[in-house]
Amino acid sequence: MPEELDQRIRHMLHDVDAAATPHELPAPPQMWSQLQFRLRYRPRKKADTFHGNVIFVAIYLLALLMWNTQFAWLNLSLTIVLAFAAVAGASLCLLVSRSFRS
Amino acid sequence: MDEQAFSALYEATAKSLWRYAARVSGRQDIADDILQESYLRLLRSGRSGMEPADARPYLFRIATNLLHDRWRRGADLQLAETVEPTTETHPEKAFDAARMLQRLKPRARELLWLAYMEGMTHREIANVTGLNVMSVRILLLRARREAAALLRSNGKEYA
Repeated sequence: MPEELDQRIRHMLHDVDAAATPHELPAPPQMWSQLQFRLRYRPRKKADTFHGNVIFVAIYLLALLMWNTQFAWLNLSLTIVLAFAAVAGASLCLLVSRSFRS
Repeated sequence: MDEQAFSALYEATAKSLWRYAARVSGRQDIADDILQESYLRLLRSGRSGMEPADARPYLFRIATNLLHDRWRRGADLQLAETVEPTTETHPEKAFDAARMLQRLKPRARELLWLAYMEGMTHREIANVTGLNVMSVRILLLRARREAAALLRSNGKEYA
């Protein structure tokens, strides 16, 4: 009985396979060249764009604070912004180097 | 890996890998994407020097993970492929079979295909799907039951 069920399931799967629209796969050289292209020119990840935007905002804030340094409390803000910019810059460098290593 | 080695590997594995992705996902365009992505990940993995016999389960594992990613995103796996029988002698029967397969859960389709069409053992299926052997056994049993129910309800052709 289980053998019969196995047979029927196998039969069904074979029928599905036989009935599907014929499909031609890319030839090996074609696939090889597509893969080589993708290996060399990987698109940048969305995360890179995000980190890039963070850096732009950080630089803008830094410039603004440096222009307005007559207030003493801004020195603290400057330090914080600098720290954020440094972290964002470092992580961006890591991401970019990982993306282009292939 | 050089082009010649890649060609040998591709010739040995591409067809069965594509059929697996196409029948489990139910769509040829998804199978095309998964095929290319699987080889790309193999080349990137640094394991590209392996023999075809060793690379095959690895490629199936990558393809399975890619299919799972699509399920998790809730994408497209319930859409049935447009089955256009061509050389089949009983086209209506083949069409019914395709619809039956699409009515199974994606996990059941995946396990049944690996077991019945790829002839993999429970251990090999476990390696491919990332499940343990006991889970494969249980899930495969459930998948067989699901398939049996469908065959019974649909199935004068398969009785």
